[in-house]
Amino acid sequence: MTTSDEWIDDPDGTFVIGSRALSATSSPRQRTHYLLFTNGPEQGRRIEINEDPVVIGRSHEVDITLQDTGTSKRHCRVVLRNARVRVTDLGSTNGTYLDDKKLEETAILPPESFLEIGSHVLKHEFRDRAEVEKSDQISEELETAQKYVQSVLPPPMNEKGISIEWTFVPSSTLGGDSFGYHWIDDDSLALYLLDVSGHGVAAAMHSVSVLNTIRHESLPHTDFLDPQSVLTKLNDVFQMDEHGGVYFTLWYGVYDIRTRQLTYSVAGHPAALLATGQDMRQLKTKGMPIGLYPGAPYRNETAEIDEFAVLYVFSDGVFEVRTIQGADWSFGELQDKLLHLRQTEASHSGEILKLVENLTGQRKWEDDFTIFTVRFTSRTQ
Amino acid sequence: MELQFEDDENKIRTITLTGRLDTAGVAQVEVRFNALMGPKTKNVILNMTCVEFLSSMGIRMLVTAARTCHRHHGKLVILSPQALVAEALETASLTDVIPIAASVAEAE
Repeated sequence: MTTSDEWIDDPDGTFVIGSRALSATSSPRQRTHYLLFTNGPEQGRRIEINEDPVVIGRSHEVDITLQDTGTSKRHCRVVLRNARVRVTDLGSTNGTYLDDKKLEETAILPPESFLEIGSHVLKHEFRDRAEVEKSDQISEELETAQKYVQSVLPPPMNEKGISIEWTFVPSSTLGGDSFGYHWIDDDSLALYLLDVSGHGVAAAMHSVSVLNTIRHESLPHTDFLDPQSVLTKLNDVFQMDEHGGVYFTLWYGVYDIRTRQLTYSVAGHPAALLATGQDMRQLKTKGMPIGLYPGAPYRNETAEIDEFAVLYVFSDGVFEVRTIQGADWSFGELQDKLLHLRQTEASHSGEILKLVENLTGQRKWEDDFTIFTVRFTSRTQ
Repeated sequence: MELQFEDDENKIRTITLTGRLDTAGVAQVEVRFNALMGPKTKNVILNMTCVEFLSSMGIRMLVTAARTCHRHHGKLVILSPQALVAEALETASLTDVIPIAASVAEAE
């Protein structure tokens, strides 16, 4: 073992002191100052702040160029001096704000404070460089996984008197939502949405794995026209003890265009909503989430689909949100809002997203926001 | 998220949770909660009067605990959940395997 007093003969011919070589693993963490964009198109981007001044503005001649009409060509300068980050407004038209206070001249930017430049809000972080690099790597992996999930989702559909559109916004940590619809035969359309417990790449990959199983109908000895048999078989195959403690909820239905009947079964998932005229009916059945208990029972229910009915299938991320006032929103309130939306021709899924964004004041989601809307536009001849 | 517990003379363990049983809340209490489900723990009353929210991660924690009690030939009963929590339990159809009681006497 190397002691702190030894000299080590480095392979490239130089000498290093043993104590320094050892201290490489025990030195204090190397912390660095960063400005992190917390909103807008640059969200997630970090600028390292050191003793070389960084000028921020709209001009292409500055160090950091912002595409923002609220920003002056040379807006402000940020630099590290005597271990403190200092920010100076360069005579900008709209001003530079530090924690909501307009800068008069140079000010110290404390760690965790917020700098507002035009419409951009930047947070001062003082963090371990290795930790930041690791966090960036995780973000990249989440982004890759997110793209993969989105690549397996179906395009909007409009055929045989049925039109389907959807809105899917992954949570900031990537949740386990996925969904799909496909024709089992010429007359039978399968509709399904699942939500895997937990967040991150593992939940997303498990979700896609289940989604592929359903859309490729790859469960052995299973009639995909019969929802309860699909859920029963999935529960056999995806027990959480054999899948990293992960389970999922599922809403699965099959619509027959000849009989205009929707047969569905639910595994611990929020009810879907069927709007007919001024009525809103909850489509739910009793059934545990898939993977929690071996042998859990599932059962089918059937709904008649009237002309111009609308079906909403969604995950709990759509209504389990907190309003700006700090109150929990509820399923019932979502149901009321959807009833009002019945009269509009706009994308109902998109309208609900806007509504929830306004309610919560958030653009970053704690859980996946997933809703798909099925409009039964006319009777099939 | 806070967790407290006490054992009575009949060896019934009452665990009281306070706060939001979401991902962050579960991360705060899960290790201690699971540790309270040792081999000698059979019957557990989980007081959820002060739990405002139950997420999928919270449901997993409860189901794991219920299964553990079942393995020990005991039972987990949830006491007085708030409306939103009761709704989440109903949606997940968990009330068959994790009964809900309105009072301590009913839970016992």
